[in-house]
Amino acid sequence: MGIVFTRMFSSLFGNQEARILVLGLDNAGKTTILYRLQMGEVVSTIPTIGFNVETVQYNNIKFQVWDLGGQTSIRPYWRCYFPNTQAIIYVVDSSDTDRLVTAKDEFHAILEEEELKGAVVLIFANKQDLPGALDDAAVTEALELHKIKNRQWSIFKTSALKGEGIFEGLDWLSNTLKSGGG
Amino acid sequence: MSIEAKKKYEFLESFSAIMDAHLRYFKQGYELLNQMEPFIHQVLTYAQQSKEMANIEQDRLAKRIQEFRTQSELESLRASSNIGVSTTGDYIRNVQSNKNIEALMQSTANGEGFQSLQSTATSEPGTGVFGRFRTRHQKAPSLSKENLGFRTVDLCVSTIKIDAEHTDLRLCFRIISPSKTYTLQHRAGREDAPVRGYAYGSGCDLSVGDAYRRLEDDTIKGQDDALRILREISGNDLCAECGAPDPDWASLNLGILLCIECSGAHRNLGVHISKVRSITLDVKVWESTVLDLFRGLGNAYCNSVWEEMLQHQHERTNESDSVLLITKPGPTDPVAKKEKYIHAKYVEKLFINREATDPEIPSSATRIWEAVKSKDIREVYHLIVASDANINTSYDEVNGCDLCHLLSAAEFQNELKTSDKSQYDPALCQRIKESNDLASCLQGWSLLHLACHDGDWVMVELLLLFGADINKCDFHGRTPLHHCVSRGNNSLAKYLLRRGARSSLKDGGGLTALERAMERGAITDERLFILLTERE
Repeated sequence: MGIVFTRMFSSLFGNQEARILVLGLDNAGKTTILYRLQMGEVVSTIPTIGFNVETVQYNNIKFQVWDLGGQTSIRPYWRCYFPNTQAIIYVVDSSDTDRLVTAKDEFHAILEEEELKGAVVLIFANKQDLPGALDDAAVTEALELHKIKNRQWSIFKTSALKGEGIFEGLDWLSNTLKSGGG
Repeated sequence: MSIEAKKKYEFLESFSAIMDAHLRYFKQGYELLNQMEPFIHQVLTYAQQSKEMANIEQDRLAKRIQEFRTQSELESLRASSNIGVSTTGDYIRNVQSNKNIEALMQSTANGEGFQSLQSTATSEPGTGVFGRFRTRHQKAPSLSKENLGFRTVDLCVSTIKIDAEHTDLRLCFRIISPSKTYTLQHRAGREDAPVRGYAYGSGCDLSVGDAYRRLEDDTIKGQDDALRILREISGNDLCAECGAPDPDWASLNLGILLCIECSGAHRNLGVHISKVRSITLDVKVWESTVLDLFRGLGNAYCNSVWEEMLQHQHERTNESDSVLLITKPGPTDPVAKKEKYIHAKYVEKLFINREATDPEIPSSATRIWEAVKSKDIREVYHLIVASDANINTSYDEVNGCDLCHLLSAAEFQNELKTSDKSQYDPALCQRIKESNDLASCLQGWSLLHLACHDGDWVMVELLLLFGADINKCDFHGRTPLHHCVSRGNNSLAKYLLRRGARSSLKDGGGLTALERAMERGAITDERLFILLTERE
């Protein structure tokens, strides 16, 4: 009886849980964003071989955030983490204009995945602090985001170093997940 | 009066009724609790028993932690007395290989509480890139002897964390696989369990690294040559920043090899300063052109440019200079020091020897033009870095008076708007007509035009990596792509297209690269034809 009640209570008011994947090309800023979310500070990172996973409590949602390495030959391993994912955070280095085409190709390949059909997508146009960084409109254009069909998505200008835009993005994500978008 | 009397007995009546109700209520409660008395005693004794047990357990655990600490200290001492970092890893792996360890397991995913289980760590060579971790679940004897079967965790996509999410769980580590998290604890009771359990825990960590290394090995087969070639270049056996051995990361545009820590610091600079790639994990980037470029540079040469002042200072150490406050870090220095040094070196450019402007020496524009012309990669690199030579330097800046089309910029703009464009049509250019050589009219050429004209792949790569404008037009409106096509250099044309050259740009004669190529005859290169047409 008590257990039933606790379960009811937690489902009504308590913590919703969400599994989030942070994806993107190498050196997009995925790990820095993960630890910005978890600890609220900038940590010095090295290239991620494998992945990092941390739990982030935000807006009554317990986010399990998976940050996967982005090097070319480990990108095929992303799909191992696709099942049961509610949302994807796709991070783009807005100043790396040479590789935006690659970023676009990888992004649309992810969206094609059957296992991620129901996942909402949040795009971070990261590294806004660097000179020559494209703004959100230009990144939207470059990633051809208008091609996204049957899916909730949003793009935010972020700077993981300065801590700008990240929590605004997470606000959007938690609201979307709460309203049943996931 | 009658009302008053009535009130009196009604009050008494209800009062006694209430008293009666209370009496019965408490009596019933007393009886119920009385029945429970033996149970209460039972619970109390049970609580005391478990308290004692917990105390004993805790003492034993504390003792064992102590034992284990001394043991691990001994082990680390023994390990550090071994030769290098890599051999330490081998040593631990040998300790843990094929050893069966009993560990307590709590599956946080299903919340069944503590389970005793036997875990077997085996690496199956047959599975290729995957290291396998096999755990056999066995419920605690108090529950039942029923076997839960095997569970296989693919270590290639899992990670080990040597801590538990709950702080009250001690001696725990977690295996996080994509679908489930296993929290394992070393079982108390066996004398040697904690030590072996820990060795096993770190062993797991190692085998994850091992699995990745095997994954790397797999890709290395293709990359093997790249790594071998890159390491052979002078100075490339050590990280360019901290001198750590066997660097397997690289900065593409700076032409240097780095260790993973310094590559992290390089990535923080932004891609406009350093483009970091892995030699083993980033496939496709290590094309022969890039390898040739690296071969032309190398850590030793690049550092002689970037650290010239630092190396000078080593020679005359007596001079006091603010630069001396920053010294080159070593492999074991903290990351913060490496970051500071790398920032000073590439962003503030503190160690570069800047030449004073001397009227005797030709301008940097002239020198870089000559360097590109003579295909001197090192000189070009030096000029870009040390003299701030403009990567988009054009021939006009180098030799302004030797122009056959004398026009001011204003006139140029004006002319373009008018319908008379004949002057810009390369086919109508007097000089080109006379000599039948495109290179006879260099007006408006950039360094990239020159490199493309000469078919110097490595120079093209270097210029592009340093941000040369791939779509720059010369006086006749021709892009580097036009030059490649008209020289019949199809492979370089394809290369430019892959690097983002726009094929839709028209030259002064109003023709695109595709049309120019067709002028020369049918395009036999199918791939080039596709690339030239698809981007429209």
